[in-house]
Amino acid sequence: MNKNYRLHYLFIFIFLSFIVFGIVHDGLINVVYGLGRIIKEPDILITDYFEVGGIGATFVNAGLIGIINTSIFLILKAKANGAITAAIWTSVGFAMFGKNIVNIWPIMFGVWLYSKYKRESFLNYALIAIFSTNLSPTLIQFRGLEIVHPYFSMILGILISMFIGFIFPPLAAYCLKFHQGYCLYNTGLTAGFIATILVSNVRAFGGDIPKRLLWYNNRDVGVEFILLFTFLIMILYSIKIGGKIKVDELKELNKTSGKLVTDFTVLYGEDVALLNMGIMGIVYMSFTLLISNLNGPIIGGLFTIVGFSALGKHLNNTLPVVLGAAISSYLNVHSLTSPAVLLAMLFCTTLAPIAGEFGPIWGMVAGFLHVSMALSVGYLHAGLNLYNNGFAGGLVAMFLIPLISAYRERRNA
Amino acid sequence: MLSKERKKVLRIMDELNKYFIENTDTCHITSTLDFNKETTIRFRVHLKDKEEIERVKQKLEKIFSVQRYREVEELYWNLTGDAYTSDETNLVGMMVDEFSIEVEDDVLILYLIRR
Repeated sequence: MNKNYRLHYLFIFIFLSFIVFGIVHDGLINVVYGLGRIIKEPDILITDYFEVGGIGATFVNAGLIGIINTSIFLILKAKANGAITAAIWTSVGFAMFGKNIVNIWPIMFGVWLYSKYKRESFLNYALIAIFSTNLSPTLIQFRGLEIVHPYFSMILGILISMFIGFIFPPLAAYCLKFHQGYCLYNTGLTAGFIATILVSNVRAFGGDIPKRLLWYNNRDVGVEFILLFTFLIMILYSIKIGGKIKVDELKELNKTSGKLVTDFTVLYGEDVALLNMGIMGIVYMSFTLLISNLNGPIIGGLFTIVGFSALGKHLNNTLPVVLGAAISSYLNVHSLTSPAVLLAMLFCTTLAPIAGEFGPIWGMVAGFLHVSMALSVGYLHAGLNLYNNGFAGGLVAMFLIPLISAYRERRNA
Repeated sequence: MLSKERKKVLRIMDELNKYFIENTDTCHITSTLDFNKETTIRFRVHLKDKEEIERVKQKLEKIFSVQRYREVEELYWNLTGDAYTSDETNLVGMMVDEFSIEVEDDVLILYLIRR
Protein backbone atom coordinates (compact mmCIF):
# COMPACT_ATOMS: atom_id res chain seq x y z
CA MET A 1 0.00 0.00 0.00
CA ASN A 2 1.28 3.48 -0.93
CA LYS A 3 1.99 5.22 2.39
CA ASN A 4 1.05 8.59 0.90
CA TYR A 5 -2.55 7.47 0.56
CA ARG A 6 -3.05 5.14 3.52
CA LEU A 7 -5.25 7.63 5.37
CA HIS A 8 -7.43 7.98 2.27
CA TYR A 9 -7.85 4.19 2.16
CA LEU A 10 -8.68 4.04 5.86
CA PHE A 11 -11.34 6.72 5.42
CA ILE A 12 -12.84 4.91 2.41
CA PHE A 13 -13.03 1.74 4.50
CA ILE A 14 -14.91 3.64 7.23
CA PHE A 15 -17.26 5.26 4.69
CA LEU A 16 -17.99 1.86 3.15
CA SER A 17 -18.87 0.63 6.64
CA PHE A 18 -21.34 3.55 6.91
CA ILE A 19 -23.03 2.36 3.71
CA VAL A 20 -23.21 -1.24 4.93
CA PHE A 21 -24.54 -0.04 8.30
CA GLY A 22 -27.21 2.09 6.61
CA ILE A 23 -28.43 -0.76 4.42
CA VAL A 24 -28.43 -3.24 7.32
CA HIS A 25 -30.20 -0.74 9.58
CA ASP A 26 -33.14 0.15 7.31
CA GLY A 27 -33.04 -2.27 4.36
CA LEU A 28 -32.12 -1.43 0.77
CA ILE A 29 -35.62 -0.38 -0.36
CA ASN A 30 -36.08 2.06 2.53
CA VAL A 31 -32.61 3.47 1.94
CA VAL A 32 -33.37 4.12 -1.74
CA TYR A 33 -36.66 5.88 -0.93
CA GLY A 34 -34.99 7.75 1.92
CA LEU A 35 -32.22 8.98 -0.35
CA GLY A 36 -34.87 10.20 -2.79
CA ARG A 37 -36.50 12.28 -0.04
CA ILE A 38 -33.14 13.63 1.11
CA ILE A 39 -32.38 14.79 -2.43
CA LYS A 40 -35.81 16.37 -3.02
CA GLU A 41 -36.34 18.15 0.31
CA PRO A 42 -34.93 21.62 1.10
CA ASP A 43 -31.73 21.43 3.13
CA ILE A 44 -31.44 24.71 5.05
CA LEU A 45 -30.56 24.72 8.73
CA ILE A 46 -31.71 22.75 10.59
CA THR A 47 -32.76 19.82 8.41
CA ASP A 48 -31.90 16.58 10.13
CA TYR A 49 -31.63 13.89 7.46
CA PHE A 50 -32.52 11.28 10.13
CA GLU A 51 -36.01 12.86 10.08
CA VAL A 52 -36.18 13.34 6.32
CA GLY A 53 -34.85 10.06 4.95
CA GLY A 54 -34.25 7.84 7.96
CA ILE A 55 -31.05 6.75 9.67
CA GLY A 56 -30.08 4.20 7.00
CA ALA A 57 -30.37 6.60 4.06
CA THR A 58 -28.50 9.29 6.01
CA PHE A 59 -25.52 7.02 6.64
CA VAL A 60 -25.52 5.85 3.01
CA ASN A 61 -25.58 9.50 1.89
CA ALA A 62 -22.72 10.36 4.27
CA GLY A 63 -20.71 7.31 3.19
CA LEU A 64 -21.15 8.19 -0.50
CA ILE A 65 -20.20 11.85 0.08
CA GLY A 66 -17.11 10.67 1.98
CA ILE A 67 -16.08 8.32 -0.83
CA ILE A 68 -16.68 10.99 -3.48
CA ASN A 69 -14.57 13.57 -1.64
CA THR A 70 -11.76 11.17 -0.77
CA SER A 71 -11.71 9.90 -4.37
CA ILE A 72 -11.34 13.46 -5.66
CA PHE A 73 -8.15 13.83 -3.62
CA LEU A 74 -6.94 10.38 -4.72
CA ILE A 75 -7.55 11.20 -8.40
CA LEU A 76 -5.64 14.47 -7.95
CA LYS A 77 -2.85 12.51 -6.19
CA ALA A 78 -3.09 14.74 -3.13
CA LYS A 79 -1.45 13.13 -0.12
CA ALA A 80 -3.61 13.17 2.99
CA ASN A 81 -2.76 15.99 5.38
CA GLY A 82 -4.55 17.79 8.19
CA ALA A 83 -6.48 20.17 5.97
CA ILE A 84 -7.65 17.43 3.60
CA THR A 85 -8.68 15.26 6.56
CA ALA A 86 -10.63 18.16 8.06
CA ALA A 87 -12.36 18.86 4.74
CA ILE A 88 -13.35 15.23 4.19
CA TRP A 89 -14.73 14.68 7.70
CA THR A 90 -16.50 18.04 7.84
CA SER A 91 -18.26 17.20 4.58
CA VAL A 92 -19.23 13.75 5.83
CA GLY A 93 -20.58 15.33 9.00
CA PHE A 94 -22.69 17.82 7.08
CA ALA A 95 -23.93 15.00 4.84
CA MET A 96 -26.02 14.16 7.91
CA PHE A 97 -27.87 17.49 7.65
CA GLY A 98 -27.58 19.50 4.48
CA LYS A 99 -25.17 18.09 1.91
CA ASN A 100 -26.24 15.28 -0.34
CA ILE A 101 -25.01 13.36 -3.36
CA VAL A 102 -26.80 15.78 -5.72
CA ASN A 103 -26.60 19.27 -4.24
CA ILE A 104 -22.80 19.41 -3.81
CA TRP A 105 -21.97 19.33 -7.54
CA PRO A 106 -22.93 22.79 -8.90
CA ILE A 107 -20.77 24.63 -6.33
CA MET A 108 -17.82 22.30 -6.87
CA PHE A 109 -18.23 22.80 -10.62
CA GLY A 110 -18.15 26.56 -10.05
CA VAL A 111 -14.83 26.21 -8.18
CA TRP A 112 -13.52 24.04 -11.03
CA LEU A 113 -14.52 26.77 -13.52
CA TYR A 114 -12.61 29.29 -11.41
CA SER A 115 -9.48 27.12 -11.54
CA LYS A 116 -9.80 27.03 -15.35
CA TYR A 117 -10.35 30.81 -15.42
CA LYS A 118 -7.11 31.24 -13.41
CA ARG A 119 -5.35 28.66 -15.65
CA GLU A 120 -4.30 26.67 -12.62
CA SER A 121 -4.62 23.02 -11.69
CA PHE A 122 -7.86 22.06 -9.93
CA LEU A 123 -5.63 20.47 -7.28
CA ASN A 124 -4.88 23.99 -5.99
CA TYR A 125 -8.59 24.56 -5.39
CA ALA A 126 -9.73 21.06 -4.40
CA LEU A 127 -9.73 21.86 -0.70
CA ILE A 128 -11.78 25.00 -1.25
CA ALA A 129 -14.17 23.06 -3.51
CA ILE A 130 -14.92 20.53 -0.77
CA PHE A 131 -15.33 23.15 1.96
CA SER A 132 -17.43 25.46 -0.25
CA THR A 133 -20.25 22.92 -0.45
CA ASN A 134 -21.47 24.39 2.85
CA LEU A 135 -23.72 26.51 0.62
CA SER A 136 -25.22 23.44 -1.08
CA PRO A 137 -28.76 24.16 0.21
CA THR A 138 -28.85 27.05 -2.27
CA LEU A 139 -29.49 24.59 -5.11
CA ILE A 140 -32.97 23.62 -4.04
CA GLN A 141 -33.92 26.60 -1.90
CA PHE A 142 -35.12 28.69 -4.81
CA ARG A 143 -37.92 26.24 -5.47
CA GLY A 144 -41.11 27.78 -4.17
CA LEU A 145 -39.88 31.36 -3.98
CA GLU A 146 -42.76 33.53 -5.13
CA ILE A 147 -40.50 35.80 -7.15
CA VAL A 148 -39.35 32.94 -9.37
CA HIS A 149 -41.48 30.94 -11.78
CA PRO A 150 -41.45 27.29 -10.64
CA TYR A 151 -40.12 26.07 -13.99
CA PHE A 152 -37.04 28.26 -13.68
CA SER A 153 -36.37 27.79 -9.99
CA MET A 154 -34.12 24.74 -10.36
CA ILE A 155 -32.14 26.29 -13.22
CA LEU A 156 -31.75 29.46 -11.16
CA GLY A 157 -30.59 27.37 -8.18
CA ILE A 158 -27.96 25.62 -10.33
CA LEU A 159 -26.71 28.87 -11.84
CA ILE A 160 -26.51 30.65 -8.48
CA SER A 161 -24.74 27.66 -6.92
CA MET A 162 -22.19 27.63 -9.75
CA PHE A 163 -21.69 31.37 -9.37
CA ILE A 164 -21.12 30.89 -5.62
CA GLY A 165 -18.45 28.28 -6.40
CA PHE A 166 -16.84 30.67 -8.87
CA ILE A 167 -16.52 33.53 -6.37
CA PHE A 168 -15.73 31.38 -3.33
CA PRO A 169 -11.92 30.86 -3.68
CA PRO A 170 -10.75 34.50 -3.59
CA LEU A 171 -13.21 35.33 -0.81
CA ALA A 172 -12.12 32.32 1.30
CA ALA A 173 -8.46 33.29 1.00
CA TYR A 174 -9.22 36.91 1.89
CA CYS A 175 -11.48 36.17 4.89
CA LEU A 176 -8.51 34.63 6.71
CA LYS A 177 -7.14 38.12 7.19
CA PHE A 178 -10.16 39.09 9.28
CA HIS A 179 -9.44 36.61 12.07
CA GLN A 180 -5.78 35.70 11.40
CA GLY A 181 -6.47 31.97 11.54
CA TYR A 182 -8.12 31.91 14.97
CA CYS A 183 -11.40 30.62 13.54
CA LEU A 184 -10.80 27.11 12.21
CA TYR A 185 -14.00 27.05 10.11
CA ASN A 186 -12.84 29.93 7.93
CA THR A 187 -14.98 28.84 5.00
CA GLY A 188 -18.03 29.18 7.28
CA LEU A 189 -17.24 32.87 7.64
CA THR A 190 -16.80 33.20 3.88
CA ALA A 191 -20.06 31.37 3.18
CA GLY A 192 -21.83 33.45 5.82
CA PHE A 193 -20.97 36.66 3.99
CA ILE A 194 -21.97 35.23 0.60
CA ALA A 195 -25.26 33.84 1.93
CA THR A 196 -26.05 37.09 3.75
CA ILE A 197 -25.64 39.08 0.54
CA LEU A 198 -27.71 36.54 -1.38
CA VAL A 199 -30.53 36.38 1.17
CA SER A 200 -30.66 40.15 1.68
CA ASN A 201 -31.20 40.56 -2.06
CA VAL A 202 -33.87 37.85 -2.12
CA ARG A 203 -35.67 39.69 0.69
CA ALA A 204 -35.18 43.07 -0.98
CA PHE A 205 -36.99 41.81 -4.07
CA GLY A 206 -39.94 40.41 -2.18
CA GLY A 207 -38.90 36.82 -1.59
CA ASP A 208 -38.31 35.07 1.69
CA ILE A 209 -36.87 31.80 2.87
CA PRO A 210 -39.01 30.07 5.50
CA LYS A 211 -37.48 28.77 8.72
CA ARG A 212 -37.01 25.05 9.12
CA LEU A 213 -36.39 22.80 12.12
CA LEU A 214 -36.36 19.05 11.66
CA TRP A 215 -34.67 17.37 14.64
CA TYR A 216 -34.60 13.64 15.40
CA ASN A 217 -35.00 12.99 19.12
CA ASN A 218 -34.94 9.23 19.60
CA ARG A 219 -32.08 7.10 20.83
CA ASP A 220 -30.59 4.51 18.47
CA VAL A 221 -27.98 2.15 19.91
CA GLY A 222 -26.84 1.17 16.41
CA VAL A 223 -25.82 4.76 15.70
CA GLU A 224 -23.82 4.90 18.94
CA PHE A 225 -22.15 1.63 17.96
CA ILE A 226 -21.10 2.74 14.46
CA LEU A 227 -19.64 5.97 15.81
CA LEU A 228 -17.71 4.16 18.53
CA PHE A 229 -16.51 1.69 15.89
CA THR A 230 -15.30 4.61 13.74
CA PHE A 231 -13.31 6.25 16.54
CA LEU A 232 -11.84 2.94 17.76
CA ILE A 233 -10.76 2.04 14.21
CA MET A 234 -8.87 5.35 14.09
CA ILE A 235 -7.07 4.59 17.34
CA LEU A 236 -6.29 0.99 16.34
CA TYR A 237 -4.97 2.04 12.92
CA SER A 238 -2.86 4.69 14.63
CA ILE A 239 -1.27 1.96 16.77
CA LYS A 240 -0.78 -0.23 13.70
CA ILE A 241 1.13 2.36 11.66
CA GLY A 242 2.93 3.91 14.63
CA GLY A 243 3.81 0.64 16.35
CA LYS A 244 2.53 1.89 19.72
CA ILE A 245 0.38 4.55 21.37
CA LYS A 246 2.60 7.62 21.14
CA VAL A 247 1.74 9.26 24.45
CA ASP A 248 4.67 11.71 24.50
CA GLU A 249 3.90 13.03 21.02
CA LEU A 250 0.23 13.34 21.99
CA LYS A 251 1.25 15.42 25.01
CA GLU A 252 3.33 17.68 22.74
CA LEU A 253 0.41 17.96 20.33
CA ASN A 254 -1.78 19.12 23.22
CA LYS A 255 0.60 22.02 23.86
CA THR A 256 0.12 23.57 20.41
CA SER A 257 -2.12 26.59 19.92
CA GLY A 258 -4.03 24.94 17.08
CA LYS A 259 -4.12 28.16 15.09
CA LEU A 260 -4.38 27.72 11.33
CA VAL A 261 -2.32 26.04 9.92
CA THR A 262 -1.29 23.60 12.69
CA ASP A 263 -1.22 20.40 10.70
CA PHE A 264 -0.80 17.50 13.12
CA THR A 265 -0.14 14.98 10.33
CA VAL A 266 2.87 17.03 9.26
CA LEU A 267 4.11 18.03 12.72
CA TYR A 268 3.65 14.73 14.58
CA GLY A 269 2.83 12.13 11.93
CA GLU A 270 -0.36 10.56 10.64
CA ASP A 271 -0.50 8.07 13.51
CA VAL A 272 -0.50 10.73 16.24
CA ALA A 273 -3.06 12.81 14.33
CA LEU A 274 -5.31 9.73 14.01
CA LEU A 275 -4.90 8.96 17.70
CA ASN A 276 -5.96 12.51 18.55
CA MET A 277 -8.95 12.21 16.19
CA GLY A 278 -10.13 8.96 17.79
CA ILE A 279 -9.73 10.25 21.34
CA MET A 280 -11.53 13.52 20.54
CA GLY A 281 -14.37 11.56 18.94
CA ILE A 282 -14.86 9.34 21.97
CA VAL A 283 -14.59 12.22 24.49
CA TYR A 284 -17.04 14.50 22.69
CA MET A 285 -19.45 11.68 21.88
CA SER A 286 -19.52 10.78 25.59
CA PHE A 287 -20.04 14.45 26.50
CA THR A 288 -22.91 14.74 24.01
CA LEU A 289 -24.60 11.57 25.25
CA LEU A 290 -24.80 13.10 28.73
CA ILE A 291 -27.23 15.73 27.45
CA SER A 292 -28.69 14.50 24.18
CA ASN A 293 -29.25 11.58 21.82
CA LEU A 294 -27.24 11.33 18.63
CA ASN A 295 -28.90 12.58 15.46
CA GLY A 296 -27.77 13.99 12.10
CA PRO A 297 -26.68 17.49 13.18
CA ILE A 298 -25.07 16.26 16.40
CA ILE A 299 -23.06 13.67 14.46
CA GLY A 300 -22.16 16.44 12.03
CA GLY A 301 -20.73 18.39 14.97
CA LEU A 302 -18.81 15.35 16.21
CA PHE A 303 -17.33 14.52 12.79
CA THR A 304 -16.29 18.14 12.30
CA ILE A 305 -14.46 18.04 15.64
CA VAL A 306 -12.84 14.75 14.65
CA GLY A 307 -11.75 16.09 11.23
CA PHE A 308 -10.26 19.24 12.69
CA SER A 309 -8.45 17.14 15.28
CA ALA A 310 -5.94 16.65 12.47
CA LEU A 311 -5.77 20.44 11.97
CA GLY A 312 -5.64 22.24 15.27
CA LYS A 313 -8.11 20.81 17.77
CA HIS A 314 -7.15 18.86 20.86
CA LEU A 315 -8.52 18.46 24.37
CA ASN A 316 -6.46 21.27 25.89
CA ASN A 317 -7.63 23.97 23.52
CA THR A 318 -11.23 22.82 23.01
CA LEU A 319 -12.36 22.13 26.60
CA PRO A 320 -12.12 25.77 27.82
CA VAL A 321 -14.15 26.97 24.83
CA VAL A 322 -16.82 24.31 25.39
CA LEU A 323 -16.91 25.19 29.10
CA GLY A 324 -17.49 28.86 28.22
CA ALA A 325 -20.24 27.85 25.82
CA ALA A 326 -21.82 25.60 28.46
CA ILE A 327 -21.85 28.45 31.01
CA SER A 328 -23.46 30.76 28.45
CA SER A 329 -26.04 28.10 27.58
CA TYR A 330 -26.86 27.58 31.26
CA LEU A 331 -27.28 31.30 31.96
CA ASN A 332 -29.06 32.44 28.80
CA VAL A 333 -32.77 32.23 28.05
CA HIS A 334 -32.43 29.18 25.79
CA SER A 335 -32.75 25.61 26.97
CA LEU A 336 -29.47 23.72 27.33
CA THR A 337 -30.93 20.95 25.20
CA SER A 338 -32.41 23.08 22.42
CA PRO A 339 -31.02 22.12 18.99
CA ALA A 340 -29.25 25.40 18.21
CA VAL A 341 -27.61 25.50 21.66
CA LEU A 342 -26.44 21.90 21.43
CA LEU A 343 -24.90 22.56 18.04
CA ALA A 344 -23.27 25.78 19.24
CA MET A 345 -21.68 23.87 22.14
CA LEU A 346 -20.04 21.43 19.73
CA PHE A 347 -19.19 23.80 16.89
CA CYS A 348 -17.83 26.51 19.23
CA THR A 349 -14.60 24.50 19.11
CA THR A 350 -13.90 26.45 15.93
CA LEU A 351 -12.44 28.99 18.37
CA ALA A 352 -10.10 26.49 20.05
CA PRO A 353 -6.98 28.37 18.84
CA ILE A 354 -7.93 31.33 21.05
CA ALA A 355 -7.67 29.08 24.12
CA GLY A 356 -4.52 27.47 22.74
CA GLU A 357 -2.76 30.76 22.05
CA PHE A 358 -4.05 33.09 24.77
CA GLY A 359 -5.01 30.67 27.57
CA PRO A 360 -8.16 29.02 28.94
CA ILE A 361 -9.79 32.22 30.28
CA TRP A 362 -9.86 33.84 26.85
CA GLY A 363 -11.00 30.49 25.47
CA MET A 364 -13.97 30.51 27.85
CA VAL A 365 -14.79 34.10 26.91
CA ALA A 366 -14.73 33.09 23.24
CA GLY A 367 -17.02 30.11 23.89
CA PHE A 368 -19.40 32.26 25.94
CA LEU A 369 -19.71 34.89 23.20
CA HIS A 370 -19.94 32.27 20.49
CA VAL A 371 -23.23 30.79 21.69
CA SER A 372 -25.08 34.13 21.59
CA MET A 373 -23.58 34.97 18.22
CA ALA A 374 -24.47 31.58 16.73
CA LEU A 375 -28.06 31.93 17.90
CA SER A 376 -28.36 35.36 16.25
CA VAL A 377 -26.58 35.27 12.90
CA GLY A 378 -28.78 32.56 11.42
CA TYR A 379 -31.35 35.21 10.45
CA LEU A 380 -28.81 36.95 8.22
CA HIS A 381 -28.30 33.97 5.92
CA ALA A 382 -31.66 32.26 6.60
CA GLY A 383 -29.96 28.92 7.17
CA LEU A 384 -28.42 28.75 3.68
CA ASN A 385 -24.93 28.60 5.18
CA LEU A 386 -24.60 25.18 6.77
CA TYR A 387 -21.47 26.34 8.66
CA ASN A 388 -23.49 28.86 10.69
CA ASN A 389 -21.13 28.37 13.61
CA GLY A 390 -18.13 29.08 11.39
CA PHE A 391 -19.74 32.40 10.49
CA ALA A 392 -20.48 33.15 14.16
CA GLY A 393 -17.03 31.99 15.28
CA GLY A 394 -15.35 34.14 12.64
CA LEU A 395 -17.21 37.22 13.87
CA VAL A 396 -16.29 36.48 17.51
CA ALA A 397 -12.63 36.04 16.54
CA MET A 398 -12.67 39.30 14.55
CA PHE A 399 -13.96 41.02 17.69
CA LEU A 400 -11.67 39.35 20.23
CA ILE A 401 -8.28 39.04 18.52
CA PRO A 402 -7.53 42.79 18.16
CA LEU A 403 -8.63 43.35 21.78
CA ILE A 404 -6.55 40.51 23.20
CA SER A 405 -3.54 41.54 21.13
CA ALA A 406 -3.79 45.18 22.25
CA TYR A 407 -4.08 44.11 25.90
CA ARG A 408 -1.06 41.83 25.62
CA GLU A 409 1.04 44.51 23.86
CA ARG A 410 0.26 46.98 26.70
CA ARG A 411 1.14 44.37 29.32
CA ASN A 412 4.38 43.38 27.57
CA ALA A 413 5.46 46.99 26.83
CA MET B 1 -0.75 45.20 -9.33
CA LEU B 2 1.41 42.36 -8.09
CA SER B 3 0.55 38.88 -9.32
CA LYS B 4 -0.62 36.33 -6.78
CA GLU B 5 2.61 34.36 -7.26
CA ARG B 6 4.75 37.38 -6.44
CA LYS B 7 2.61 38.22 -3.42
CA LYS B 8 3.13 34.68 -2.14
CA VAL B 9 6.89 34.93 -2.58
CA LEU B 10 6.95 38.24 -0.69
CA ARG B 11 4.92 36.66 2.12
CA ILE B 12 7.38 33.76 2.33
CA MET B 13 10.25 36.25 2.63
CA ASP B 14 8.37 38.31 5.24
CA GLU B 15 7.67 35.23 7.32
CA LEU B 16 11.30 34.10 7.23
CA ASN B 17 12.61 37.58 8.03
CA LYS B 18 10.24 37.61 11.00
CA TYR B 19 11.50 34.20 12.08
CA PHE B 20 15.19 35.21 11.92
CA ILE B 21 14.61 38.50 13.74
CA GLU B 22 12.43 36.98 16.49
CA ASN B 23 14.40 33.81 17.10
CA THR B 24 18.08 34.69 16.60
CA ASP B 25 20.58 37.35 17.64
CA THR B 26 21.25 38.28 14.04
CA CYS B 27 21.94 41.87 13.08
CA HIS B 28 22.52 41.27 9.40
CA ILE B 29 20.21 39.55 6.93
CA THR B 30 20.45 39.83 3.16
CA SER B 31 18.03 38.25 0.75
CA THR B 32 17.98 37.90 -3.03
CA LEU B 33 15.17 36.90 -5.31
CA ASP B 34 15.24 35.52 -8.87
CA PHE B 35 12.08 35.22 -10.92
CA ASN B 36 12.76 32.91 -13.85
CA LYS B 37 11.04 29.70 -14.87
CA GLU B 38 11.26 28.87 -11.21
CA THR B 39 11.49 31.31 -8.34
CA THR B 40 14.65 31.16 -6.24
CA ILE B 41 14.94 32.88 -2.88
CA ARG B 42 18.26 33.14 -1.07
CA PHE B 43 18.81 34.28 2.51
CA ARG B 44 22.25 35.04 4.02
CA VAL B 45 21.92 35.32 7.78
CA HIS B 46 24.84 36.25 10.04
CA LEU B 47 24.41 34.39 13.30
CA LYS B 48 26.08 34.63 16.70
CA ASP B 49 27.95 31.35 16.92
CA LYS B 50 28.03 27.73 15.81
CA GLU B 51 25.48 26.72 18.44
CA GLU B 52 22.93 29.18 17.09
CA ILE B 53 23.68 28.12 13.52
CA GLU B 54 23.04 24.49 14.41
CA ARG B 55 19.76 25.34 16.19
CA VAL B 56 18.46 27.42 13.28
CA LYS B 57 19.65 24.85 10.72
CA GLN B 58 17.74 22.08 12.49
CA LYS B 59 14.59 24.17 12.66
CA LEU B 60 14.78 25.12 8.97
CA GLU B 61 15.41 21.51 7.95
CA LYS B 62 12.32 20.47 9.89
CA ILE B 63 10.20 23.20 8.30
CA PHE B 64 11.27 22.57 4.73
CA SER B 65 11.49 18.78 4.74
CA VAL B 66 7.71 18.80 4.25
CA GLN B 67 6.50 18.36 0.68
CA ARG B 68 4.69 21.20 -1.08
CA TYR B 69 0.93 21.12 -0.50
CA ARG B 70 -0.56 23.29 -3.25
CA GLU B 71 -4.16 22.91 -2.06
CA VAL B 72 -3.25 24.04 1.48
CA GLU B 73 -1.21 26.91 0.10
CA GLU B 74 -4.09 28.20 -2.02
CA LEU B 75 -6.51 28.37 0.89
CA TYR B 76 -4.20 29.60 3.64
CA TRP B 77 -1.33 31.62 2.09
CA ASN B 78 -2.86 34.89 3.29
CA LEU B 79 -1.93 33.88 6.84
CA THR B 80 1.78 34.19 6.17
CA GLY B 81 3.75 37.32 6.77
CA ASP B 82 1.68 39.61 8.90
CA ALA B 83 -0.04 37.86 11.80
CA TYR B 84 -0.29 39.54 15.19
CA THR B 85 1.48 36.91 17.20
CA SER B 86 1.94 33.71 15.39
CA ASP B 87 4.61 31.72 13.70
CA GLU B 88 3.54 30.53 10.24
CA THR B 89 6.84 29.00 9.25
CA ASN B 90 5.21 25.57 9.04
CA LEU B 91 2.86 26.92 6.38
CA VAL B 92 5.82 28.42 4.52
CA GLY B 93 7.34 24.94 4.48
CA MET B 94 4.27 23.73 2.58
CA MET B 95 4.74 26.48 -0.04
CA VAL B 96 8.24 25.53 -1.21
CA ASP B 97 9.31 22.74 -3.60
CA GLU B 98 13.01 22.46 -2.75
CA PHE B 99 15.46 23.81 -0.23
CA SER B 100 19.11 23.62 0.66
CA ILE B 101 21.19 25.03 3.48
CA GLU B 102 24.88 25.96 3.46
CA VAL B 103 27.07 27.25 6.28
CA GLU B 104 30.08 29.55 5.77
CA ASP B 105 31.75 30.45 9.07
CA ASP B 106 29.04 32.30 11.00
CA VAL B 107 26.77 32.74 8.01
CA LEU B 108 23.83 30.50 7.25
CA ILE B 109 22.69 30.48 3.63
CA LEU B 110 19.20 29.22 2.82
CA TYR B 111 18.07 28.52 -0.76
CA LEU B 112 14.39 28.02 -1.55
CA ILE B 113 12.86 27.06 -4.90
CA ARG B 114 9.24 27.35 -6.06
CA ARG B 115 8.19 25.91 -9.40
